[in-house]
Amino acid sequence: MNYLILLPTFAAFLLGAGVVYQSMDDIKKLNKYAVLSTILVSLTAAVTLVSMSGESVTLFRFNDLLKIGFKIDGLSTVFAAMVSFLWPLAVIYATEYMKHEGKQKKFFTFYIMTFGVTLAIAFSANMLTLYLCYELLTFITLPLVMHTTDERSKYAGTKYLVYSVSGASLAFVGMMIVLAKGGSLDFAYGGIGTLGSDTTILLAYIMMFAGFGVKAAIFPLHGWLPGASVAPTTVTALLHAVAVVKAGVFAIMRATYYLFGTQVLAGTWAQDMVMSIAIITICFGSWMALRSKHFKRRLAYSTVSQLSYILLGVTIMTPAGFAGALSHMVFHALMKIVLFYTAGSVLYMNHKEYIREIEGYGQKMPKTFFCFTVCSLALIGVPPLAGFFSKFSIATAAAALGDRMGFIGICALMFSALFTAMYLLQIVVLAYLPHKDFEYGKLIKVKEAPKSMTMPVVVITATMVVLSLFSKPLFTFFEVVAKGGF
Amino acid sequence: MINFLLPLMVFVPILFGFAPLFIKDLKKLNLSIVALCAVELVLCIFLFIANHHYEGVIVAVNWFSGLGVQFEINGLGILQALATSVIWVGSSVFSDEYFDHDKTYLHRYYAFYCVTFGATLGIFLAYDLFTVFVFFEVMSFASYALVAHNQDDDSIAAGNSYLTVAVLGGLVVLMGIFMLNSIAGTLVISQLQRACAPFVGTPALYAAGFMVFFGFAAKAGMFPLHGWLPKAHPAAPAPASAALSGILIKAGVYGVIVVTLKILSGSYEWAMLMLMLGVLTMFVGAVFALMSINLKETLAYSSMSQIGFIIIGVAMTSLLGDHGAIPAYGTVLHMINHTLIKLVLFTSAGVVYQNTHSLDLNKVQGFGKDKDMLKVVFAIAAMGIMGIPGFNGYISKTLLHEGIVEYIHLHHTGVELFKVIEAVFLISGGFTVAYMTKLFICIFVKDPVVTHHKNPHGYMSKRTAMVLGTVAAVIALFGFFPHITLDKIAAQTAHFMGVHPLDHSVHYFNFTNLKGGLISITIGVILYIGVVKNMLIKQDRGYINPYNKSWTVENKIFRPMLFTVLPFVGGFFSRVLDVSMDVVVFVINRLFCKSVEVPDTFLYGKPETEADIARRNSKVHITRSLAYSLLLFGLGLIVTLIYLLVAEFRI
Repeated sequence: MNYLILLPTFAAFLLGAGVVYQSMDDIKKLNKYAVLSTILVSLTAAVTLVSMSGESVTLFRFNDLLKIGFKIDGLSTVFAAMVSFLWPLAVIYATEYMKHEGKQKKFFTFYIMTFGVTLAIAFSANMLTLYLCYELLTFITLPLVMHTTDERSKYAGTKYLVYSVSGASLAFVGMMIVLAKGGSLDFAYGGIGTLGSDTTILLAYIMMFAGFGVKAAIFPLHGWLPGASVAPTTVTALLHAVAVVKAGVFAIMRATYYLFGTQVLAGTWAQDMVMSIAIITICFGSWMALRSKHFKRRLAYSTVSQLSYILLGVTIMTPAGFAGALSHMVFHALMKIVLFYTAGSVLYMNHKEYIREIEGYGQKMPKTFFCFTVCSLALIGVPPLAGFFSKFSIATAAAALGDRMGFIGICALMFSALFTAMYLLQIVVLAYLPHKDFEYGKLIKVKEAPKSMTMPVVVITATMVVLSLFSKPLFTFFEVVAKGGF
Repeated sequence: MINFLLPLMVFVPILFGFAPLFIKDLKKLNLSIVALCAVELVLCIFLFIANHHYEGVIVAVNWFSGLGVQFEINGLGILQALATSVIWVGSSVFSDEYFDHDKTYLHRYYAFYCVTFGATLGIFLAYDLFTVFVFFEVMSFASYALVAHNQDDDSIAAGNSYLTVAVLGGLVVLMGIFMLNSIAGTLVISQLQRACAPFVGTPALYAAGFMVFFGFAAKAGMFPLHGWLPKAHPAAPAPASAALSGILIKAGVYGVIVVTLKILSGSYEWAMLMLMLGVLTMFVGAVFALMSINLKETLAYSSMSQIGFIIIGVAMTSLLGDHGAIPAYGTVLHMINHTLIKLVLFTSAGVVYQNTHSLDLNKVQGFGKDKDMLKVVFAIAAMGIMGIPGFNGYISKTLLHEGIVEYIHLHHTGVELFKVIEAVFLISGGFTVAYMTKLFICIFVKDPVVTHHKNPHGYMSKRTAMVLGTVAAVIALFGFFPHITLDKIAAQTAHFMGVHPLDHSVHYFNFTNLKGGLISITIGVILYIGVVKNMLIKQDRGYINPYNKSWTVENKIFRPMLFTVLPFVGGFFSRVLDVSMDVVVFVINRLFCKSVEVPDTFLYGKPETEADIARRNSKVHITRSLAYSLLLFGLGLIVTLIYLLVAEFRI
């Protein structure tokens, strides 16, 4: 019966494949099919998460060491719940947005299948399974990145492929070293327990961090992410702010807390090294965001920086840091998807790509920009919105570390928060407060996005605000997960 | 009951920020806001009178956000909350009239106006520094919308400065809070003094204290972080300036008091630093106020100068320790008095503006010549801030002055510096007299140079007149009967300020104390006649400002640093780093795979030319296709798998 863990994944594959049998002549029907099947997958995932929590299944066994297995634990629940909430909304947004990009059939096939792969990553019970699903994710999202199939998107897709695959091979080497030295790849909170802190093991960790870090866009392996913003906004928003990049973060979390274990890593040079990578990326990303003039690229660099906030929390290697990282993972997903959708709506409705072109849009697209403002403030970390509390708990955990790296980490957080404020508020101020002699007449053609695009944005923003204001239960849950108690 | 009351007092106004979405009728909206503020005022009065019953009752709102917020009543906090409510009642009554001629974005204004109100109350009712910080940030961001309300060049520029200060200040405070928490182990305001005592004098605590101080000092408009203040006040609508000047900067002062008297209490060096900054703020503000020819800018610089007086009081309280009751009372009372006075002055400035649509002294000159009501209330408030005996400002300034004198009496040696400070104090008092006289004479005594358009409905509404009259009456009342009013108020805050309450009452109207006031007034008269009349008023051009406005610390140092140097240097390095990996890939390609032509796609590809595409399509590159790569990759995986299986069978 435990095979049912895989039900959502297979449902996504089947329903995704079913898109092929829809006709392009009746786009409405195609859209309806896509939305309904995604909701169905989400519901299946939700039921699975609730009813099968703690269960595990081995699907396939090469030998005693190598097997394909799935299980549901606390971390999988957080990740799977996050994507299951966002995916249907993203598909609803896409039904409208993709009218402008075309080729919906191809798009929705892969889009829904990606959902299944992401869930499989969340449910992986050992490193081998995670690794295979991770590779699968790279390939299955490639057609989405190259959707427009012009030269730029082909280039971006190739870059994405080269970076991801070489990263994964690095992680593969790390995985083999762990297998040789430790004799197991199964995830268990606190690590597999047979590893010592010798240089080879630490080197293997660094390799794995760097390898999975490609998807988490750590410096200097981030190059593919801003380039990939040529993909349709629906892809950038969901995959390059949530599913794909967070799969990288998720894999690093698994490696750090469930494979190597913090006893092995904490206090070693490896920890210092990964922390400094995270810190450098935080500063670097926000700096690049500030100097980008292109709306989507600015958000992409912002993602680079924000992902490393999560990684900083992870690499603090205490339960408190892990809890902070988890909350930032979830909240950043909610906020960033709204920011990207705003950029998408502006692009879709009015064909504007650059930030200076959106002067005065706050009046014309009230719903979209109101949500944008709320999420910007949350991302900057204005209390009482969620971004503040997740950053606060990461910084508190860093302070509790009490050493030099922790302190530098807090400085980097503050520094980056300043830049975040500068690059996001610039947009907000421009949209709402154009100069007095600005002619609103120029914007006569600017229209608010249609309902199917504003609805997801409003729903996500509202969820984010409600979760921020009443986040106590959620935080408690994250703390339990971070202590391995679930 | 208090368990529900405190959170409600803070959250209801914040939630009321959504009311403008539902109440579209502006009159009704305004009335409901006035009613809300009035209810808060009544509650604050009640809690202030009964505050010793409730001190020590901690109200935790744990469900709110991730970490929860906590409230407690303390003497100074509730007094400031009371002052906040007074300001908000007054300025919301006035808002209705002030915005009569320009109703654009008024709903937005009211929304942020309510949020700012709630957040400010949250700061003053907070139990720990974390809660203070949360509401401080909310207040800063919400009030930005008030500063930038007019959306013209001036207010956008002022808003940008304000926002930068808010963001920077907030971050630095947060950093300080982290350090403080790891040093002292607590952020509870009432426990900080004991928790920090063992660490006073250590560099770490100084660093933490300085960071917390930095953010609050910027909000208080202390030198050299005052740059935003003279820009924001004239740019904001008058009711918002009254709130800014009356209360928001006091929130900064409240933070400075916490740092000086709670975190770093007993540190001589810190107190001296505060004293020096206070003196600079006081003097610099006074000089600029005298030179300014813009009505609201003068008042803004005046606020800055008065903040200097207050900070001096804080420093003297810290220096005198337990026996600092006199400067402590002076500090508290000057905060309150200044709030009341600025409410009247800024509202009057608003009345002037809505009739003349100008704040330039040369244009508003003579506006109030025939307007008795405005003349009287303005005169009362002006005399209050000047420190004329019989008005409230005199009482608080006398106490502050006495604080310095007492220190000189207690320490016979090495007090030359304090004698100089006393002199500067009295001279700054003289400046206050001079610039307020200048304003009064300009608006109410001189003949108009421009004919002012006469409003058929009278120059101000009855409701505004009533508010102004009431507050002016309170100013005079406080000044006339200090023993039964101000002394009682100050005594409530003695515990919070960490001083023994005064057991005797100060004789405000004896010769020694009157002497200080008289010296200031004399200096003021000399300054007015000598400087203002001779140097700042020209026969042909009227009032002039000899100061070149582009030469400010902000424009010459802070702005270039923050907006030019930092982004440029960082941006340059980031750009170089950004392509570093691409360069590595490029070099490797060049070295090992000569056949691959990279440059056309290197760096976010230049679009290919037709010729390129034709050349590319002419030959079939199987080895360069994606499928081929995938095939090779799959082969690699299979080989690995075989290797693993073989290795496994051997075992």
